[in-house]
Amino acid sequence: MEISNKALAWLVVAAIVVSIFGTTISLWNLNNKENLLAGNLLTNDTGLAQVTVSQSVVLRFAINATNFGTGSINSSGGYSSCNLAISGQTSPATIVKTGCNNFNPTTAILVLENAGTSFLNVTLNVSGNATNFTGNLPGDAIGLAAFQFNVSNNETGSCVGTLNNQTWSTVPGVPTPQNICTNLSWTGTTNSLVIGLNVTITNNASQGAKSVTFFAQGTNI
Amino acid sequence: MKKSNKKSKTINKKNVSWENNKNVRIILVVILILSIGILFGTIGYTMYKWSEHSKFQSGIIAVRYVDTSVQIVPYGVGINGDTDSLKFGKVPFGGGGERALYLNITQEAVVNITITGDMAKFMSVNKNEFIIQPNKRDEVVFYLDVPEGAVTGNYTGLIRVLFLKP
Repeated sequence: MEISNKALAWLVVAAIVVSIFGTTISLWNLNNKENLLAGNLLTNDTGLAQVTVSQSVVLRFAINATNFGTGSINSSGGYSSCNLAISGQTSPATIVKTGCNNFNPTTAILVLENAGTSFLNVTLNVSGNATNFTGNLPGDAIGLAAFQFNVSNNETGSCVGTLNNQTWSTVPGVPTPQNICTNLSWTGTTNSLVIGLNVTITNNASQGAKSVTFFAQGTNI
Repeated sequence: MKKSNKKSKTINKKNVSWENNKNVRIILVVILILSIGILFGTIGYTMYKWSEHSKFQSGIIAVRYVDTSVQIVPYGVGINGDTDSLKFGKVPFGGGGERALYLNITQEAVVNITITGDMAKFMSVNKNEFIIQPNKRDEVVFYLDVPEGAVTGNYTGLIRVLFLKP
């Protein structure tokens, strides 16, 4: 029996419709499966597994020209070093600028907040000291290069434990983190510390962008 | 009247020629074969994918999900030590952080970790596709790196920890 072209054409139309329909269903199914593989898998556990979140978090942040601006030592004014210091509460912060041209340390003040809902033991660590940061030698013949920090409550009563380093202290270098507050509160209005910075740049410091990284570690208590 | 008769004759001629044309027949047969081929090909591929997925699914011992979040800010840092999810708190541009998950399982397994969500692009993990020994706590460290050009705001993600049969 020979099929006419007309019948064949109808057969082709039917085959195309079935093919498109079948392909659509298949692709839709596959897409659902791929989503399952990439997203939520619905399985019945065959083993006892446990995943817990650590009690401690380490955050790092850089101190660089964004915080201090750019500038130089005011040598024409007879200075051999430039001292920049910012400390105290965020408003108003105490800013000291001696023997410097153009530096603007208004955003150098660091606020460290307890953003969670548990009390924290907080330590601080820095990737470099005065030598690494400003590029000169501390205690050398020309000047007194320094890189120090201090800690104060941003809101009275934020540190309900022992608040350490309230006076200028040389920055701790890796691997010796410094405990700055043994118990930082998390309540809404009293939950933050201010880290002040005191940098002295001497006239043998190399030119260029300087950066140092701070590491703040908070551990639940 | 004569004109319309002529027209219908021409159409009939065309119809007849279409219905008996050999070339048209060949084209139709080719299209038919292609359509059936595509249909069978798709069905075969789907079946293969399904079996692959079933194999994968049967290899899963357990799956756990942990939410992760961070708030990107211009200045300052905010440490969040909450343990209900992997929260990083507030991180400034160019900053980052690290936080760990502790894994434990009663049988040997291969651990597969994936991170999804808008935070995934900032995150990495210290190890993946590794074997965990039964009842031995293992630590996986998650790193967060916020680029200088990031946009401030809240970011979230989902960490999937898959324990698979070795």
